Amino acid sequence: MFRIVIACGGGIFTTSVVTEQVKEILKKAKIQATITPAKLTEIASIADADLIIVTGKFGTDTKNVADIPIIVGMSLLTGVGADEFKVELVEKIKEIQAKGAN
Amino acid sequence: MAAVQLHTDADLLALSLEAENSEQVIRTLGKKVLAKGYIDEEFIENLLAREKEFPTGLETVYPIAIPHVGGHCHQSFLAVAVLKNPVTFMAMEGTGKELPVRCVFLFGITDPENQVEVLKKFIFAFREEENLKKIHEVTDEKEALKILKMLLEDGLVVDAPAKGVNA
Repeated sequence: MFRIVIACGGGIFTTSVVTEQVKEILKKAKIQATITPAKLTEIASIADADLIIVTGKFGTDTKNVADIPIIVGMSLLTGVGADEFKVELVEKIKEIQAKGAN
Repeated sequence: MAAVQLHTDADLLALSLEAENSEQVIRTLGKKVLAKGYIDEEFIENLLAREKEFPTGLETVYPIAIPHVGGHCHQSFLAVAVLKNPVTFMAMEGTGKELPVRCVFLFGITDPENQVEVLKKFIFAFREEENLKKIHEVTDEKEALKILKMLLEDGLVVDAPAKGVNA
């Protein structure tokens, strides 16, 4: 199953709110995925996920060890650009799934 | 299982606050919460440290800040400061963007899994310009509490303020 990691500074507040919304987006798009919370300090070393959604800085030079795609989910908090993000998220997941299938 | 509610009351509000920087605002609110016994002193220091590394400025239509940190919290709460003049908080996104913030919401979260509903309500409520405007223009504690209760509904418990608490 597709594995998503959602990370924020503390790993509590913004992660929970973003997780709830991502769950709804996935449900609507009929995509099955597991969602795991994490702190931003942990994401560089995560190796077992297909996509990471962050709501905070992870540094432009913090590349994830396993080269897992990272997208910024701030709009799910501020509402600014949230609709576009929802579309972008679904497209990104499908893109990654397609790559994995090859 | 009932969601664990956030507690607030007039003592946890700082309206028309004058402050020079984000640290002052956080300390002012922190002291109020400490006076109630909801947190330990470490909470405030952790909050400041976290804010430096992972800032909590949100670029909503009227920018706000949502400082929060886990641990050293005995009772979930919400403390709010509405400032006379904007104070700089860094944007959560980490781009180094400085946001002029006039409303700061300090959260004490003890049970994130069961409190996600009220946090969601908060985020959704304050995405709306109309709600942001309301809280920015509030003039007294009663009005502020009314607005917060309306937006957060069951997630918020408005207590009667303790008598003689001077924060």
